[in-house]
Amino acid sequence: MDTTYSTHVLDNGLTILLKEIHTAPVISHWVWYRVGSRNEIPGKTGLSHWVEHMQFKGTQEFPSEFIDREISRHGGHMNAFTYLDWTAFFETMPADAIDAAIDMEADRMSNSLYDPEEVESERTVIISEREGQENDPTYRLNEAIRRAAFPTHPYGTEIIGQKEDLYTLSRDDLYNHYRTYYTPNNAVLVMAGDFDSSEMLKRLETAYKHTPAREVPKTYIQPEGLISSPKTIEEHGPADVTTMQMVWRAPAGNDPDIFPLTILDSVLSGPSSLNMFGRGSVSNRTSRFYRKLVKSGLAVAIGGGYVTTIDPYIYTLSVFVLPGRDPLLIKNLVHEEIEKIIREGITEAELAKARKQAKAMFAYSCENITNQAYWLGYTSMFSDPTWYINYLDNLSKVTVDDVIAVTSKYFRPENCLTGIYSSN
Amino acid sequence: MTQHDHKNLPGPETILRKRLDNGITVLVRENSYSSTAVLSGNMPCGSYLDPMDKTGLADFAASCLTTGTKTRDFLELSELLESAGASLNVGCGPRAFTFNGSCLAEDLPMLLGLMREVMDEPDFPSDHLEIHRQRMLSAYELHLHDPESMVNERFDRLLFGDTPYGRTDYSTIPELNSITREDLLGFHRRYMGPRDMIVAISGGLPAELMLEECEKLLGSWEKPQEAVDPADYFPQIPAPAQEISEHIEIPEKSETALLMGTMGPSRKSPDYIPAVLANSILGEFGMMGRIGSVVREDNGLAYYAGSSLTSLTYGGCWTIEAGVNPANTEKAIELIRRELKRFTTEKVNAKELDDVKSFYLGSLPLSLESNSGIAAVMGTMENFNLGLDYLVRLPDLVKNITAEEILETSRKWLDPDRLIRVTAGTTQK
Repeated sequence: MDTTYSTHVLDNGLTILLKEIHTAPVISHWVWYRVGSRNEIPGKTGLSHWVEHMQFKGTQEFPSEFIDREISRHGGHMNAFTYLDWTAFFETMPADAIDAAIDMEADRMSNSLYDPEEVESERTVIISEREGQENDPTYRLNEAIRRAAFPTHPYGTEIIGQKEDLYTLSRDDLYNHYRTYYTPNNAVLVMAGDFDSSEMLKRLETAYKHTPAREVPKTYIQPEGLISSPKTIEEHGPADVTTMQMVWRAPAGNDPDIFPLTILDSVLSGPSSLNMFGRGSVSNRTSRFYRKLVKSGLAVAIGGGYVTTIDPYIYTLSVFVLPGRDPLLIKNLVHEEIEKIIREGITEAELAKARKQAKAMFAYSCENITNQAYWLGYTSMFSDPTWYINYLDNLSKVTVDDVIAVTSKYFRPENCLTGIYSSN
Repeated sequence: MTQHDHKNLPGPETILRKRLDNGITVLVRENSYSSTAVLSGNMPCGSYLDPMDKTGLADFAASCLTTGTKTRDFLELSELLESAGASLNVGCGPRAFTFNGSCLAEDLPMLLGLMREVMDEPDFPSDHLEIHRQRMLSAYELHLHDPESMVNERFDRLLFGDTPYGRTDYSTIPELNSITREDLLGFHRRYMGPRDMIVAISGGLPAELMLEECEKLLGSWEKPQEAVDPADYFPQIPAPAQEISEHIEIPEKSETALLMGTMGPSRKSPDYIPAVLANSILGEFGMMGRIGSVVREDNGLAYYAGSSLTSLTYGGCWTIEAGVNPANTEKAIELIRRELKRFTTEKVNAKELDDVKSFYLGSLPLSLESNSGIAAVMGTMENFNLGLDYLVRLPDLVKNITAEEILETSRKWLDPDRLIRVTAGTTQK
């Protein structure tokens, strides 16, 4: 894979990353803001996600109909995401139509209207979005686990926000959040695709030359340490199924421990994709937890994974329990298997397989231009693009001892939270 | 209308197509920018072949193909795939088994060989049949508490009745316990084989080399199969003669799922392209078209509200779906009904039509950037006999559609007074 890209910082602090790819007449254009639910406080949760919605309600120059239709009419597709650490907007379009996206994104960085009527209309849309999520029988368990795993850190709150906050947040709350964090010096603009970098840079300089920098408040958030209260949380609901989650603290995205964790994840639960648009998936039937829990007739399915974040987040193992089986037995077997790795390590064959799986997953996740742009922006939010450029190299350096050390550091039974959902 | 560059789309110059002597049609296309490969296709032995007292048999068979073969057990099969970071999935639709797999380009021969092995020599080991049965039962329990899944199942049943399109995975649960290993082996013996199978591959290898591998690994596959004509199993079904409305009560749900709809044109119907454009205007373009505009943007009643057109081999359906707070369900239904009346009595304006044509044609290159997109479109061209030059001809087919044809097609298929309407959620506290 060609890893060449160029970095530019405009006078107003906007970081621009450009990657030329001339395989198809397509450009993917992203603006990433360093703001997510991590930047919210109790009583004002859900602001980042709601602001993302309001960014589609238009500016004086680009009304909402334009945003909805202008990108689509060129055959492009657009979307936005709010996450723990960031909010991102993207448009992937035929190269000759990209101007519409550039001008629209530049304008809505500072000129969105936040019409009070639109705010009220969107309140019910967002509550409806949350209610759709609540329909999942295990939603309450996920919420309870997250709260327990982060007693003080904002990662403990659902990104969409607490329902009571969604009823009370005001237009001014939203507008202030927008004006605080949507500034060029708090953003990374990424473009990948069929363009000439020097011409594109001039084009972007023109688009953003009237957007001044503003001071962004520094956030002082104390990262959570290892989980210190190894309790079991129980939730009940009408669905006659039993599911469980076991959760341990995971290292931050920029911590070197993340690479041994990637190998460990592959060995225990099968490989995870770190790309939201990752294509291709690899089953986990030869993973240790599948063999221990599913093959042995205790569980219907298992899955494990982690995400890369600014502050330490969590590693989650989800188990769909076979009817009539004891979740506490499963919990003990999981700890047993982890203890075995701390005691005996993993085999060289397991290490080689995990590396090959990572290579394949990474290749699937780089398949198209949108994905290439995604990687540049995503890694800039918790590290920088060298993170993914060196990803496979870093995995190739991981040793069995590194895996043992990471397992021992994070995956002790006394540092594990367990959640069990069962029927009423 | 925006002009789009379609010269790089898959077409007769870049796709190699060959029908092997055993009846498999192979389509391959090189994607020199990719280091991976995607294999997809189908075998025409879907759930239409289920015996009346064992519905779900075909689906069960498809799901268990990768659990063991005559020469490799579950662990050996899984090890081969997973140690290469590859995947292979087989599913069952009403008309055919579908399969897809992905791998690094260097591992394509392994994936092709494995695909043949699981389809040609499955062993259906008993212990894995039990695991699969338990998995289906658990999935069924979740389905019962999922309003969207429930409205979809009920809608299909009300629209298509007891035909293969009306049967879903979940309607088969009562028979699930009666399916035996002998049933699965019998299904394989009678119906599964290379005849009329389609295999489409896009990947980072020369097309000639990929075709050669297909001939080498699939060409020797010979197996007698019973002669069946799927068309005999898919009767023509009339559109609903009157409005049908049902509610499914599910406890403790914050949001109600709403699905309204009726029959839609099949993929080979002359109405297909006008209906695709009409559906885009109705509930897809921009922020979910006119339906999204009226239900979500103007009234804030739902997070999602849009429409879908599903065009299949022997029929199809045209639906409007939304997720709304229970207190707003009636209001949302009324707004949708009003929009449908307008849509079936007034011509769409020239700008709307121009926009969706441009959207439809402009989005093609984007959907064909990946190996999976290319393999899927080659499969569609072959499945529906559209010709390898379909994507070359498509711009003219789309550009010539008029607002009159959109209105005529919408009127023909969408009768706002004769829709099936299903809701699921909590109304009784």
